[in-house]
Amino acid sequence: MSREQRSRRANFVQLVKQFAVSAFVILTFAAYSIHDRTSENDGPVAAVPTLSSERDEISTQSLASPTAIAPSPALQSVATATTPPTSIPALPTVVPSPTMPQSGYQDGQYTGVLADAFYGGVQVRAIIQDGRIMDVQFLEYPQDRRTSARINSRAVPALRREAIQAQNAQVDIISGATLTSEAFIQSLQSALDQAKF
Amino acid sequence: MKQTRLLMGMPITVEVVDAVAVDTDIDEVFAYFAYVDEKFSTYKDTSEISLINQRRLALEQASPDMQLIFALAEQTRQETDGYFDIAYDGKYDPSGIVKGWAIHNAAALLRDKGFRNFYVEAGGDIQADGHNAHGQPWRIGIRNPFVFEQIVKVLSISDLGVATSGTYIRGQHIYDPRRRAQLVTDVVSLTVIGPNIYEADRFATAAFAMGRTGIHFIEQLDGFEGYLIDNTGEATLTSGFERFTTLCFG
Repeated sequence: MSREQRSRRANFVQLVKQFAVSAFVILTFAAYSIHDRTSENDGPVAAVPTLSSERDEISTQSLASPTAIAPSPALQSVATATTPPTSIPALPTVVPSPTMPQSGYQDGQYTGVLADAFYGGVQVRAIIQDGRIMDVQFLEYPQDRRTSARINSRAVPALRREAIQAQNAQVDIISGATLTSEAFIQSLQSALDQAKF
Repeated sequence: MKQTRLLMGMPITVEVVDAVAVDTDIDEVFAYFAYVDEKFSTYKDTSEISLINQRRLALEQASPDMQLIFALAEQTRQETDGYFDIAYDGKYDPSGIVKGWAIHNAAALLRDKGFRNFYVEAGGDIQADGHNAHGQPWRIGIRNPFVFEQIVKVLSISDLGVATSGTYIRGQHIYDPRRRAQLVTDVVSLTVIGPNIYEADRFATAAFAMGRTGIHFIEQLDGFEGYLIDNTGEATLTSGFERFTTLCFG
């Protein structure tokens, strides 16, 4: 291909792209508007009964409507896909029967073994009240990251940065990465074994 | 009324503040998690997901819930430009989407029973509705990824989902699905506040895999806020994040 051909081809590709993007935006908006008007109460994200409150909308909309590729307007900029998402019809409800075995733990505090996680030890304490696990506390946990905080030179524009700082406040719940290490399970299991009748 | 059980390989806690709650209400929530575990656990040879991975069950023949999870995972993959992917080494591990979905459904189950003030927490991911026992928004601490027993932020949360993706310990890795062998190491923790836990969890997982740019991905999502902690102990906040760090009473 000559340079001219190449540039002509590039122009053409550019045009097609622009058209595709415009069409996508318009279609998505149209689909979203229609969808917004027609569907109020869909719910197949859940396997459990009706999800109709407002906060469920984002997760349920797109599944319920085969036309909406990304119903949340904010998602449009990242939805680069050209194929529509898998759309499946409304699904029947599956409600499991409550078959959980009752715990049968004795009240008290039980300290699990110090389990070796090769990078350090993990040890937990289980608090049992009314025959149930009320709390799981960590007595030992590997600290393998440095705690010093320094401001990184690679600044991200617009977003605020701060050095993390320990807080002393009481909280109801803690959000953190899931602890699924074997050592954790091992220590907790040994604590619960002691609590069994 | 509060209970913790060990299910899906992690402690799951349910607390219902509404006075009318009884034990069997919470039992039902745990039964639901047990059901999800049976179906989606990749550690159980007989689970439905394992049958699919062993090529003994075709997706088309799978249960509605399984098909739904695959559809949701595919939708998320597209919405995150491929950063979220349940396929790895020819096998499927949908745990990155199942947990948030299960918490979401567990919360819906409680709402369906008429409860308005409760939380469901599984492995650090939370759906918190209404208020706590003191009539205030739920106070959620973000765990310090460097010092386990510390928290570095306190959020006031009501009717929202909060999910944290991260790697606190060696041996537990999140891979960038677009560069198979590439470990995500720059970012150690990414907390996402979203309209519900299903949304917060899936976008937290995907944004974490994006590395430092993940916080920008969250920034441009309407109705989401994020708090990213990098490996030097520095945090990056989305522009509306601090709305949730100011304590509001009543």
